[in-house]
Amino acid sequence: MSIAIAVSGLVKRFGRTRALDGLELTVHSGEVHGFVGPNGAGKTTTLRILLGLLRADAGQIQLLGGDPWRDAVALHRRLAYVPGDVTLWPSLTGGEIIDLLGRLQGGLDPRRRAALLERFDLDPRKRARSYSKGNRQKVALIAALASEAEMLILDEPTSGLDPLMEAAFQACIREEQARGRTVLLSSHILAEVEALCDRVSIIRAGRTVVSGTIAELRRRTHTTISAELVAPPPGLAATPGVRDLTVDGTSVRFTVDGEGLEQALRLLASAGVRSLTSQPPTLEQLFLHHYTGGAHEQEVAHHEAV
Amino acid sequence: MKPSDLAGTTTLLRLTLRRDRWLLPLWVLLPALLIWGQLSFLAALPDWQGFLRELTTNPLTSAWLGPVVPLSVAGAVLWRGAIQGAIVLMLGALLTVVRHTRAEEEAGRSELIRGRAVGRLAQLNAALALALAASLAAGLLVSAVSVGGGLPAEGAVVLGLTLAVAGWLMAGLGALGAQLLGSARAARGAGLALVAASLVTMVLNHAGGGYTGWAWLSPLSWYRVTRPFAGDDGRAMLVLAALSAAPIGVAYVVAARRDLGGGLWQERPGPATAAPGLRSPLALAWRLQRGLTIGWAIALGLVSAAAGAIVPSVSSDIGTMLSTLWPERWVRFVEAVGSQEAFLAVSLYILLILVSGYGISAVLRLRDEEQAQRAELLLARPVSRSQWMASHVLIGAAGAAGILLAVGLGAGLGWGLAVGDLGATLPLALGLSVAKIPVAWVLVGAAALAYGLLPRWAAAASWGVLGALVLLELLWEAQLVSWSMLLASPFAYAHYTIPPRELAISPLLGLVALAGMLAAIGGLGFRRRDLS
Repeated sequence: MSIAIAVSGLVKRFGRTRALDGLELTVHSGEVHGFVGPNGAGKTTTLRILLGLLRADAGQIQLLGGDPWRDAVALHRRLAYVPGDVTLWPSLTGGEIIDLLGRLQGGLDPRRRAALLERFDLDPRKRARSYSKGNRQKVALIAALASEAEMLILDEPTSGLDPLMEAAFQACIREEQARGRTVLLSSHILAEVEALCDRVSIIRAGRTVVSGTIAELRRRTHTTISAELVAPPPGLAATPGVRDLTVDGTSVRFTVDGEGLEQALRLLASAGVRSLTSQPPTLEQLFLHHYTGGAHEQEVAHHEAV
Repeated sequence: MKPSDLAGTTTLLRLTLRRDRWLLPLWVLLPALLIWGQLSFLAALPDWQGFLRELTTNPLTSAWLGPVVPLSVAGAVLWRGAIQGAIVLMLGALLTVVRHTRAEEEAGRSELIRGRAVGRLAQLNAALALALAASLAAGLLVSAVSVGGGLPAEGAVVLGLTLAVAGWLMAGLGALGAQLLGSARAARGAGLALVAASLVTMVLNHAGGGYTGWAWLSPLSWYRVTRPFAGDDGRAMLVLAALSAAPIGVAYVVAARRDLGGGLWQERPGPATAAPGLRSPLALAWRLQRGLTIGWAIALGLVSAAAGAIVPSVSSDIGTMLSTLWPERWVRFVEAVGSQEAFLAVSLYILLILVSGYGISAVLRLRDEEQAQRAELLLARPVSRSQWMASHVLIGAAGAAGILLAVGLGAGLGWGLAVGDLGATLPLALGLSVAKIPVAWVLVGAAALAYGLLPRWAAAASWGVLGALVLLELLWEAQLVSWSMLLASPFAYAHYTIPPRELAISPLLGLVALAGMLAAIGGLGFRRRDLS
């Protein structure tokens, strides 16, 4: 599988603050890649560097085989972008803006344009100044989706859309994926990330915390186990990977990571199990764990080594 | 209007004061400083009586500025200071009101405020309170400075109030425009057009001797109605104050009835698809700037037509004291071409300063587009940075050229129709205006340079350069700066003292090259920097 985006050691400073501090990002061709992280983590800065709007201070960046700063115009023929905070020219109508942006890229397929307008239920005759945030986002989305670009870069494209439009958006992205397009999707909507993304990169404070498929990420975080036993289990506290252990007579409750799971279960079985429930981390817990720095530095090192 | 409609005014007034803490003192103090400058200039003149006689009998100055009444220091202060002071107050009041009403609404901040326990009219009320109080304060400062300079107290108060009332009128018209028009840009544009129109009515009044009915239509000439130091007409003063209150009342009525974000006219649906031509950054830049550009061309075309029409009524006598008061170069010029042509030359030269301002603001649109993040919508497409930046710079250059052509055409037609001889006047006026195009281009180039290299300071730097060049010109007129020093300014190469037949082509071509070079360096700077 070829690599569409390869970023390593990316550094960007704004005055004294380091917005990006050695960020890593790999996006394979044809995949939908989720780009998530708390506010201010550096997602938009990364995307703007990938578009050649900002210049990196250090690091290697390859986008579709080119340098985003030097080859900006050539690369932009092959990608389409939806900014996070869409502002439009107030006196132009939505339809005019979609046409203008499409023509800059070499023209739009009118049937595709009409279909997308209908799908997203947008009135193209309204002036941009009277559009709501969601409608402004629709203008930028339609302009991007109607293009023949091989890559889409989307910065929180659905933050102003209603659930109906969110569903329309997800359907569109799946179609794009089926047509072999690469999508880099920055998003805060975890259900959207789970539904759409093949792989996910989580960043925090300008660094990549973890990267992988959602199943892989789940495996690396903690499962909560509570059990009713016949007798109190011996040595559970000493088992590597077990945390937050509470023992109340014969009932136990603890969390355990993927590596300690097998040994912990063996100990439980040896004590005799009356009942057992195990909860995998919810998606929210998974992200919060990484957002708040719950992931330890050695864990990061471990993931990066993988 | 219910009392609850005004709830929160005091808090909002504090907010407006906080936001305007640098801007407000500027326009409140400036009129008093201008009057003070006039007073100290006259005090320093050894023969001010002679100077005044010369000013009031000189056909050129009196065509623009009218007679000096009364023929005393007080009259001379009014003669220039009252007009300048009124312009400052009108602009200050207009821009302040729009900034705190429609601009807030457009930016969505009004929504944040109206969601609180704040009355529907509170924002308008706070903005107007600020502008009215500031105008009054500025007027009273003018009165104080005048009394301090030894002028009679009664006249000083009438002068101060006359200026304040001009500010009130524009505050009210600005508020009304902000209620009726759908955008802050439109409200500001309409207000500026009214200020420009009052310049025209002022000149018409002066051309008619200074005391015609036109004076009522020009807040810049209201001192000709209230006559400070020369009769002090208190009743006319009251009429003007009542007049200036009218738009304020209408603004409140409209504001109490309309939706947030709405205007008087419902937005009509626009085209669902773009016109075939809208396919490049340049086409978009023209689409964004065409309304403003055409508006400028029409407005300045009309102003120059009015100036042209006045030319035949300019007396062809040459004042006796001319030679001692003005630079020798100017005297030789008037002697060579006569007062009438000289009047037109000066008029077109003043308009050149305005056109340069248009060129600068057209280029600075780049900065607006970048900050509003609309630039990135285009630059994320296959549009190179040079191509995008060039679009607005080219509109600025072509627009300035077009407006100057309209100026030449207007002046030539106005003059030609007044004397019934288009064949002589049109080429002369067009020659004068076309020769000024390279000068405006240098300012366009300077703005592009500032935008490319110092984006955050682009506006301050470009307007600062224009201000410095105008100051240099004024210093030359006051004979504090020599002609060879003035040659450092691009304005000198299309100067009004150069007879049209003696305009040298090569320095003008040099200015074109300089403008291109400045813009190119700005473009290189823009290609290398981050987008904000």
